[in-house]
Amino acid sequence: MSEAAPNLWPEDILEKKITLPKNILLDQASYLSKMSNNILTVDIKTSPALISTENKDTLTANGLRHEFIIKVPALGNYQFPLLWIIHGSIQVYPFQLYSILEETFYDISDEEHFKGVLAKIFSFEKTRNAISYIMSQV
Amino acid sequence: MNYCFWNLNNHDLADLLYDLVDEQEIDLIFLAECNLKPADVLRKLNRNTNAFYFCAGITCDKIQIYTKFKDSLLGLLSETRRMTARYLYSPVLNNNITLLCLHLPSKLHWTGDDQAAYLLGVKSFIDSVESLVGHKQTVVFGDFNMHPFEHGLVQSGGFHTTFERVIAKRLVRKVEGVEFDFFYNPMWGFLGDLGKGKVSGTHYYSPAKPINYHWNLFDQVIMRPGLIDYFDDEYLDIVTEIKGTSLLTEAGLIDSRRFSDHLPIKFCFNL
Repeated sequence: MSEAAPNLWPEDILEKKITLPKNILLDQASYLSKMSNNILTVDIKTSPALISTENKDTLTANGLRHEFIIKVPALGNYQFPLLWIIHGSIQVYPFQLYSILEETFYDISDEEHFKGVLAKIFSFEKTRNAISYIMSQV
Repeated sequence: MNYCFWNLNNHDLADLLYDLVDEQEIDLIFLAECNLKPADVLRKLNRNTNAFYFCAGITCDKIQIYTKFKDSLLGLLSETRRMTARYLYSPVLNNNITLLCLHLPSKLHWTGDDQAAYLLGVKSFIDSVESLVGHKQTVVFGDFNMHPFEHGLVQSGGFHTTFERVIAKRLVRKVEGVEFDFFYNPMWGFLGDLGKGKVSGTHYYSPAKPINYHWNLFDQVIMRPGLIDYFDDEYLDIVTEIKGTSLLTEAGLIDSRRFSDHLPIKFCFNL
């Protein structure tokens, strides 16, 4: 009887799980809709994107782009994109985030950093002003 | 309908705006780098009539819009700080068209990566707006901070413009199996001193660097193919003089000390 083939997989290969950035965005989208009684809705628009790898001037690797777009059905579907991220298909972190109202790029290192930056963008004065203006219009 | 776009470079040119609008019979004027208060601009524009309205935005604070149409006729569709998309009813088409005015940031201190990523955002913004309204009757204009021949304006993943209307009317082009819609860019006609108009650009900058175009054609209007037949080729111009006041120095360069470092552009759609 032949010996069983050795298991070459590292024991901890299934232990490390990450929350995909898109899911984090979807959670925040859901919170905003709930807090505003669906006056504000959010569309997470996902599209393929090329990202750079080691050579900063060459865009080669496959990536995904997620855009966080706030929509106001009661204002003729007026919409404004709040931020977008671009990450690799396989290696998610680190990735690039652009905060549209701040006009600032962030290099996101990990999940906690991502959540911290999101909280900062949501609290940003121009974000607050835009949302309070919209809420006073509907 | 006559349109004008002008980057004022934060100069107080309200009196000149009145003359410009009056002389060129402008119906809609879009201003970038304008630190004037809307009430002050309106006081000047409405010196003799009550023709002009101010169109307020929500998140777009880089562009001011004044129009002879009630602001309710120029409805908000989507905005960022640097882009505003509005619909305007066209009696000729019996439908709305989309006006998208932008003031893109200078690329001076950006990496190639940042530029490419930012451009994806601009393209996505246009796609979202066209998807929202369900048609592609779109005009995009403003300060692109790019020449007509730069990759961002030409490449399929950017604005995907062509300077040839016959090509634009093919509507789309496939790149690696993916279809990309065309924009038509008539501004190429201004390049060079044999081209259209009195100047070769809307901005002049001549640094002592190996590559120097001197004249920059940053302020442009581009359109989807469906609107080409309504575009008035003759009216399109870079404005260099307003009621006898030259915006140029005696040497023929932009008089940025007295006025803005950008020249206004004017264009018309027979809609």
